[in-house]
Amino acid sequence: MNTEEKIEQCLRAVPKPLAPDSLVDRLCRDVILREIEPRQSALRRFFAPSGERISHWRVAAAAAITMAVLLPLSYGATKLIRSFIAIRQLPAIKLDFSYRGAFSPDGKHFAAVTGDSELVVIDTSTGQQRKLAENCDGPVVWSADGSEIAVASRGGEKKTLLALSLKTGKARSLMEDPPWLEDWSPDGKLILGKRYSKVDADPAVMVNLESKKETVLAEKGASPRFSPNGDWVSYVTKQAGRSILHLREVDGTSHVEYSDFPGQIVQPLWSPDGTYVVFTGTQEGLDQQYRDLWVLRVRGNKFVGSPFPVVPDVEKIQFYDWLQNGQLAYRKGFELGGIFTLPVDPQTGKATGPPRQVARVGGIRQCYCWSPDGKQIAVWQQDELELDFISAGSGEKIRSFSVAQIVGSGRGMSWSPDGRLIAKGCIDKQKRGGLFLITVETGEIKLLVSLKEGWAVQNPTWSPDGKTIACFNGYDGDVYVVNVEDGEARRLTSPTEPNEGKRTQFFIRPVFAPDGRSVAYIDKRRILATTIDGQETREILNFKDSINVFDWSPDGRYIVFTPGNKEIWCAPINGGEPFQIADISNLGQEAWAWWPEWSPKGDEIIFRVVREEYQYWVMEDFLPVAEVGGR
Amino acid sequence: MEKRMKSLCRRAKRGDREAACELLNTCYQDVFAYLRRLCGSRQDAEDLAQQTFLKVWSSLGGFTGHSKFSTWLYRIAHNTYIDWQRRGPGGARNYPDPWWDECIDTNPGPFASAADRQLAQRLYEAVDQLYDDQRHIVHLHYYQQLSIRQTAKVLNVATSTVKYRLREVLKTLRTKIVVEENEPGVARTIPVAKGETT
Repeated sequence: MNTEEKIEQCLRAVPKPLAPDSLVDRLCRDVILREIEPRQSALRRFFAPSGERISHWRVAAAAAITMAVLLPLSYGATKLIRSFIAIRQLPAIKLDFSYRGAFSPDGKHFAAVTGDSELVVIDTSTGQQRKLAENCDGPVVWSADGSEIAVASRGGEKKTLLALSLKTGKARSLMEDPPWLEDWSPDGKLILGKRYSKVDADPAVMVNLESKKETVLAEKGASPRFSPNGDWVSYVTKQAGRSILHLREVDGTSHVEYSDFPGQIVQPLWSPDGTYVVFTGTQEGLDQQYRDLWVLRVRGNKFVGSPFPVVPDVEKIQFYDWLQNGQLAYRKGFELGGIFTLPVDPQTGKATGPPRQVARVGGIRQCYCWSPDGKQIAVWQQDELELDFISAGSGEKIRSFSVAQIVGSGRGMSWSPDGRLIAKGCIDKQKRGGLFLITVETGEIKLLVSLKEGWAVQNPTWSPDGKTIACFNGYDGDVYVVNVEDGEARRLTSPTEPNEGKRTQFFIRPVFAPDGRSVAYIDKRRILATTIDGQETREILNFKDSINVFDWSPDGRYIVFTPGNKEIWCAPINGGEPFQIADISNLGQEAWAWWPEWSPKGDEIIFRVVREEYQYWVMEDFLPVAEVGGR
Repeated sequence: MEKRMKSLCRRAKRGDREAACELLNTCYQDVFAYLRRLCGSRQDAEDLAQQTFLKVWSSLGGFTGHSKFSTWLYRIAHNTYIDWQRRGPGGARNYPDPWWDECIDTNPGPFASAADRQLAQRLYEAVDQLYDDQRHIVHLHYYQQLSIRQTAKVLNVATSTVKYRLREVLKTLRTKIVVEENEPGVARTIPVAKGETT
């Protein structure tokens, strides 16, 4: 026991002086209870001071005090509370959009192009939506007064930039062959965009809609935006790995740069009053990458001071608009879905029951493969940097390995026939890219062969004898075969003649035939098979639509494939008609089936359901009060 | 216990003298002990206890029951003592009458040895020499066993203030005890090695 504890113990055990017996008698004599009255509530005493009727004058006085003092005080308190960041969701916007949508300057409408190329405008308060145009493409931009929407249209022979009236839907042409639209000047005379046609350059350009004169702002510029008064243009370039934020007068007479940000500047955007530029700042932390929302003050023709962070961790924010009322509207995206199995009859290739979900993993950056005995499924979780093994029957996770040394991976993976190894295209922390082998027992990862631009190695597939792996090399678009013993790689497919310097044919997603004599792969709507020596190529399927991913049945009699929508199809190899075996429309409007793989026993097909969900939010009061007032 | 006290209180409010006497019998020893230790005189403590209960009966209608009855009672007792101290020459504080001398110690716990008993008496003396705000904290929290929250309510200060003052009190008392133990002439338990300076 230390000194303090001993002191406390002594104090608590203090002896008690006893009162004399005579005291209690004296005290009892003094008990006088006649004057005790029930106590009225303070409110009652205020309104009825005499204890009888309520005074009307006092009620009126209370009302006057409430109006004159308490309400303003509560308003002040509300303002104080509102000085903290307020975030709320806009549940009215439920559609998924292929490209960047945009909020009207007053925030009352949201416009975007759907996957069906329709320009849709949604009322953000009611959710009411209406189609404004068809055959649209790319992002949309609102005019400064919110009366028109600029969007590219593929309706005619050439791509045209249209301005559509919000009220009437009437369209007027702004220009033909427009750049990828980024912004529209407040006076409506200029647009900003990007050209993607040039090789190794994607210049940010400004186009005068009257003279059609096109000015290149930067050969590799990003996110060009007009200032609210239309006098300035901001955009981002990169130099020596650093982002440079440019501020350029529209006529080119003045140009300043900010290059001190210790990270990447993404999506710079002007505040409605033109005094700030907000951007997503991406910085490398000690253990992970951080994305925060930063603000940089602008005064006249220069940046003032240094950027300061206003909202931390905006990892999932995809794009945003700063509305005239000061709100920042933005979108978040989520990957949902899971791994499903479909029971099939190995003899007929037809489904014998409905799909069943076995694992709740959603991300598109995940891939999986069957174990050779069909009892387990290996799932590569790139986001979690884990390789999981789950039970094919129950979906329960059996074990997992960390794959933290892998920083990137190509699609697909394949379990060796002897069950010892898993092949996967990866790039590791030492920036070695190529085909890697993972030991199933220990989780050890080793580089088998380094192909050019190794990150693009995808879809490894083992030969039945386990001696060869075929894979797709995205760098040249061909299928390669790799000898497992010595790592020697050989191109299997023959490159086609390039058209105007561009390759038009790619042979993707190879799968070894069950007999090991050939490798099949996709060529748009066809599945071709080339013998392992590369001497002979034959067509084994020609489908009405593009083929997305496919797999052989273990007996080699069928091919299962997805066209990249909600359907799963099966096709006999002997030339019979393909037939649909599953449709996942009931799993959600935005759900699509992907990556079917036939189980080793042939009685199940595993496939992924990918579903993306988007949410729209607005945040306000995200600038510190001191900064709003200027500093 | 507190439920019973509040029930007695309600009855006393309705003019039930028997309930008031029961309330009194339950509390007067604690109130007297509190005032006796504070004012340093037996006679003054009896007078202050009488004044305290007179105030209790006269203001019983104002006790809403939002706090514990004991808290309310100690607040009255505390204010009565403060009033008395202001009116007079500081009561008997300048001429302390060691209240512990008249106590019959029935608690052998911490005072198992004569040394412990001496330490306790030195502590009580030291507490009486503390500043008023610190002294009240010790009396209410340690001597009267009130919680920190109750102590804060009686003294009308924040609980954080009570905690801070308690830390200060313990520091002061520890310093005082340790210094007294190490005063010249007091035998040291650890011998000083040759050449080592004190």
